[in-house]
Amino acid sequence: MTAPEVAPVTRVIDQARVDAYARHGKDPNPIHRETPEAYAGPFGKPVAHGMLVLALASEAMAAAFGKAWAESGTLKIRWRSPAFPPVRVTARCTPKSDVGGVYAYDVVCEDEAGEPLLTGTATVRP
Amino acid sequence: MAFTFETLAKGDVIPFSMTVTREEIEGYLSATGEDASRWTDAVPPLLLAAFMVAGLLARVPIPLEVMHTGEEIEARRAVRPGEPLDVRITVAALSQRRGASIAQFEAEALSDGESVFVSRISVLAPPPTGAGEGGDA
Repeated sequence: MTAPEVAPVTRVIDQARVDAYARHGKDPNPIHRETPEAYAGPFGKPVAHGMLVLALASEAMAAAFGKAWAESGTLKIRWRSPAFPPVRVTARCTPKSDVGGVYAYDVVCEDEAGEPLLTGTATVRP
Repeated sequence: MAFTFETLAKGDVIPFSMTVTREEIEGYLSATGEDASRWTDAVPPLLLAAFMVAGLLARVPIPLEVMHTGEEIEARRAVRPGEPLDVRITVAALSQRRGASIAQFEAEALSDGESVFVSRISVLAPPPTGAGEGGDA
């Protein structure tokens, strides 16, 4: 058995969105914003929050499964590359299996060049 | 008890209370770009994870160079807006690799003693030379 398809989610993550996420996601780390710390930091420029990139994968699963995602969803991911705004990110959840009514997906969020920003798995029990 | 990243020990527990309001959900979704109409009676799971990370950062000063390298979430039931949660973040593992410090935290949210959400957070502090692994920051 295979889990049903999940529509991809694509969104531009620009500096304004990163700044908004810093406020509303409660992560004011200056390396995500236009700050001296960002330019002196490990990436040499502002980098989008990884949790903001991951939010697109969660959004794709929520769009497909509604409240079941909030009731039973799991994600397990590792970040692979930093996302530098502005970047057009696509979250893809590819059906992997349906075992006992638990749908499993391979998850990737990639940039416009197809470079993986994060990879992992998701499950949901609808 | 005051914590610092450098002095954390395996088994340390960082407890705090948390309540996610509708206004916070709307703000979060406006930032991520997700349609808010789907989240009128439940808190988006990734918001819970993000706010648990924020709670950790508020209580444990983390050096700027520390990278968030991995994340797991496990929703055990939907959390309602305004529902009081008791969060316990436990230092699950600490290790060193090629001069980098690696820490794993397990964060659990409970509502009236019922475990409703778990998040596992992996972070890496690169060695002073700057050589390290990729990650989010």
